[in-house]
Amino acid sequence: MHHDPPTFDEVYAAHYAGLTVQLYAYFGDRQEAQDIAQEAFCRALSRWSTVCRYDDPAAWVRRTAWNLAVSRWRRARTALNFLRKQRADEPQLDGPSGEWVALVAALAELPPAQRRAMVLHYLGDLTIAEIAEREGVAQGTVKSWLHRARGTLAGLLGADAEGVTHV
Amino acid sequence: MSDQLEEIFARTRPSAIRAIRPPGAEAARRTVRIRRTRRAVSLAAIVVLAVVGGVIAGMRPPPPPEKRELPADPVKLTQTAKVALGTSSTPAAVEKATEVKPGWVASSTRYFGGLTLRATCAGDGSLTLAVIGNPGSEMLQTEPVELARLDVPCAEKPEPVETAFEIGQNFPDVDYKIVDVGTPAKPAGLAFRITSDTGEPLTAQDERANPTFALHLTSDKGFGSGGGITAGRRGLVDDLPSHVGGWFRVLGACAGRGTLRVDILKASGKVVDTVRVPCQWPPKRYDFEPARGSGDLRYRITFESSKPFASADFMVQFVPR
Repeated sequence: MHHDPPTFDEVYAAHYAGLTVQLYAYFGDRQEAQDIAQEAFCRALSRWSTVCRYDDPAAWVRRTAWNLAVSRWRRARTALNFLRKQRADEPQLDGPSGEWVALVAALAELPPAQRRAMVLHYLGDLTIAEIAEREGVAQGTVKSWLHRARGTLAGLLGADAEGVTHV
Repeated sequence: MSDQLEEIFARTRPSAIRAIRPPGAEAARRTVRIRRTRRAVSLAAIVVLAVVGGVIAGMRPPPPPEKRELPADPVKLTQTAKVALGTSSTPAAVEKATEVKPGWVASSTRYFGGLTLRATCAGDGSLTLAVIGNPGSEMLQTEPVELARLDVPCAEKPEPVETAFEIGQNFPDVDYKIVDVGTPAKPAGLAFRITSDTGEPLTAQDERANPTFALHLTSDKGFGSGGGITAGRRGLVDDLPSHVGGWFRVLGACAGRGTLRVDILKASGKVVDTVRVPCQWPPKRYDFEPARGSGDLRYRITFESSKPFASADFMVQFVPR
């Protein structure tokens, strides 16, 4: 049942996974992505009476999550994630496909701005204009980021994405 | 490639979404509730302290006439304390110097390894420096925990004092706080440094500290197991998935001090082979080719250390050959 304005539970249910998958692609770390998405929703909840009246409350959560993702908060929180993401009971969870792992590994090779642009464009469905506004740069810059990133990814994903690197 | 990329993103997105475990809206409510409670308690404590402080100040009799002395310069005292602290052969994780003020606090992220807190105080009196771990917001434990406490005597020619401690995995943030100053407080300068037995200080955001990164895997081929592990405990025992087969390589990386032991077992419990991964900072990948097994296999991972209850973090990948 849809409420107007929407309830916190409705927005959470509709957008948590979609937002987390973007952050997952950006960090390459599911647990860290989940933590940041959850923190963004917690911040929204603490001021929900205001946020719920925005035209698009989910956009506020998304913006907050991405701000957290590139902020000092994220770096400070990583201490917890490092250990937790390898907890012994984790292997029992269903993992993502190998193709996703390869894609995330290839994205990790990109500079952060290019990686953000790719994730926001392909997974967040943001337009070039919206990405430019979020990043505070010209649209041409975003186009350039996407162009370079596509070139890099084409090279990486066209190469051997299977197997194990031997050291 | 652009269209191909769109396809790849669209095709892989569902599998990534399936791997996501939302903590839930109720968990968010719980977190917000805890934070509000904490904030209210802190505010109440400040108000009580202010009221009590005001009452005590009002009750205090007028001080007797004293021989006037020129106050020592806190800046110079702080500088003296820094000099007395000396230099360190390894890079410092945290290094601070300050005029001694009750309640002064500095913060840092969590550092790995065995840590040494070394401090000096120049001036009169003494102080206590506390290391306080702040639990993550989603931890069951919500109250800060004192991880170490160091009494630091102040002197004109200060001598360094030190103590050892570790920052547990539950504390992503740490405060260093002056909790006790001799009364009446006299001018003094404090300097302290924290070093780690990892050599160069390693924090969790440092990929070099992460055993998973140390493996340099480019796919999830095979089967992986990882996590925290403590010496002297049973360890981790589980079945090896059938897709790994009986002929595989073992790739291991372990962060800590000691040895990670990986036993390959038959269903009967008989050991097929054992490999040992040296644990170190930063963790490094080791490759092994254990003897070929047959039938249903299991694995057992234990941690061996000369220190009882020492812990390490590891990642082991079994890759079919």
